[in-house]
Amino acid sequence: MISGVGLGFRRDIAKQIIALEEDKPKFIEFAPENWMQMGGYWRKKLREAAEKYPIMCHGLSLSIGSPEDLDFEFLKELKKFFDEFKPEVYSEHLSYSKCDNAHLYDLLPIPFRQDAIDHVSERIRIVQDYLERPLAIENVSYYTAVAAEMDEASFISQIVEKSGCNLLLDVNNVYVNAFNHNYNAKEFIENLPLDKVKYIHMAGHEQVSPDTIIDTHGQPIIDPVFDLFEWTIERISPVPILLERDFNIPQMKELQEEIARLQEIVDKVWASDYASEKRNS
Amino acid sequence: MLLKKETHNIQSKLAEYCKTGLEVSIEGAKQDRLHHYRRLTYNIVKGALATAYPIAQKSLSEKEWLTMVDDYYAHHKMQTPLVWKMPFEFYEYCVAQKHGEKFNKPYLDELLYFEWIEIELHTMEDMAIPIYKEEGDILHDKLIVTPEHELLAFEYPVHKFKGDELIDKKGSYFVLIFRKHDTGAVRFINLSAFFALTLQTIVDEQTTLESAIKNSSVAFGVDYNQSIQHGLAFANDLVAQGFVLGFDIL
Repeated sequence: MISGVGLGFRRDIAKQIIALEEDKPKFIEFAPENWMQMGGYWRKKLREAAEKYPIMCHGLSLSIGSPEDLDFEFLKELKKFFDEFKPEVYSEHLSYSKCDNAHLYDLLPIPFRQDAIDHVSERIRIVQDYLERPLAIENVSYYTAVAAEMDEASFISQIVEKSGCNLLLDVNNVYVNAFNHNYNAKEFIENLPLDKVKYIHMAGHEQVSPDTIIDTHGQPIIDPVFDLFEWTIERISPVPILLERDFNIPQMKELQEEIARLQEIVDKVWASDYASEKRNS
Repeated sequence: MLLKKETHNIQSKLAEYCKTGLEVSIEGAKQDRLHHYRRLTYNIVKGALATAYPIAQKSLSEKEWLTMVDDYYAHHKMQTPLVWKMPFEFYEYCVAQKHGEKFNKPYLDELLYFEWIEIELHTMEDMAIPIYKEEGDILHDKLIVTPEHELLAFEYPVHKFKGDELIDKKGSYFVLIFRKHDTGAVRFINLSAFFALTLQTIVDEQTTLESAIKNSSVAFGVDYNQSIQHGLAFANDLVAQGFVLGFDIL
């Protein structure tokens, strides 16, 4: 079981991550879609990284919330890829990125509706059966709800329950959504099935207007998100934590400092009796 | 299908809005926030295409380039789940839409293809290489070449000139583009028509240099004995550049 804090494996920093000897992340995570069906230079780099680090995979194109049928050709390729790289966790976004037979390559919000819960839950079950592994779904950031008939926490919780999948809790996304939709982040988290959280994502964001934050993964994590993270992990059992950084990637030292800060919180909270009591209660 | 038609329609509306940017009213959505989805999805596609086709982009005015990108994003249903492969669909779409003709850039299709094939060769899955020996007779042994390669025939020398410099250079150009087995780097080599045919024969018929030169000499009506000296120099260069990996062991 992977534990501790990992780092997103991006091409911009691939060589540095592979070369690290000290203060290494505990694992790396990458999107299979960015490495599938590849050979040559980048395949070699991915193999080198895989020999050095445990692997997590975080998908981009499964589009679990699509209105149409699942893409089984894609799933077949995904399975082949997983057979080779053996990620400990495969996670995907609770969103849709393909609609009416066209990929859009970003995360659109699924309407928070009962029929969508039934539809997505069935799709998750099919994916889990096909891949013969559990899927962890991530709460995504969204900038407007669409035709919602319930709140987000109920939507996520019901899908997790009906599908039997795990939850990837993105703490930054909770912060972003709480700000953008004016709700209480802690109340939201308390309403999730926290016993199903198997993985946590942490990232930075960018405030683009007085009432809107965009989940860019292009800035350092801000203090209130660190605080929310600490509060959150007091309520869950130890799971791997990922630092995501996709844009404006700084020097490795800066990323290592962010990882160290996360690790410090993890060590403090998950080693304490206080957290253990919280979880048990 | 457990999803109601109504929910499907709502999802379709948002997706369609992302693709076209045309104003849309979606139930329960904050209208002043919808534009973020259009911007985010559009920028991913625009960014991926700019990265894939930097020379084509520079060869066009900003308006022409964005017309192509907008048209593609709005009207083409992108099929690949892998973003890195998506620019190939753009190339195919631009050819079908005759954008080169519309913008009076007759070289555009070839330029886009040349830029794409460089990506594809760099990135494509590793192909099997037959067992070979490193020492051999370059004239009489069958040559083993790197399998990740393509022989290209162009009307415009898009591998040598840029933008509108190309317009008055219509002719016949041949290029070998390949991935180096050791470093993964992509290289290209200019070829004469004679050596393009020679190489094609070596690859397609898995024959020797001698046999391929004979074939080309007949096809071009030139003296074999004269050609063979050039052929040896050509083949040695292919070895030096890493295209020829070695010699068939049989």
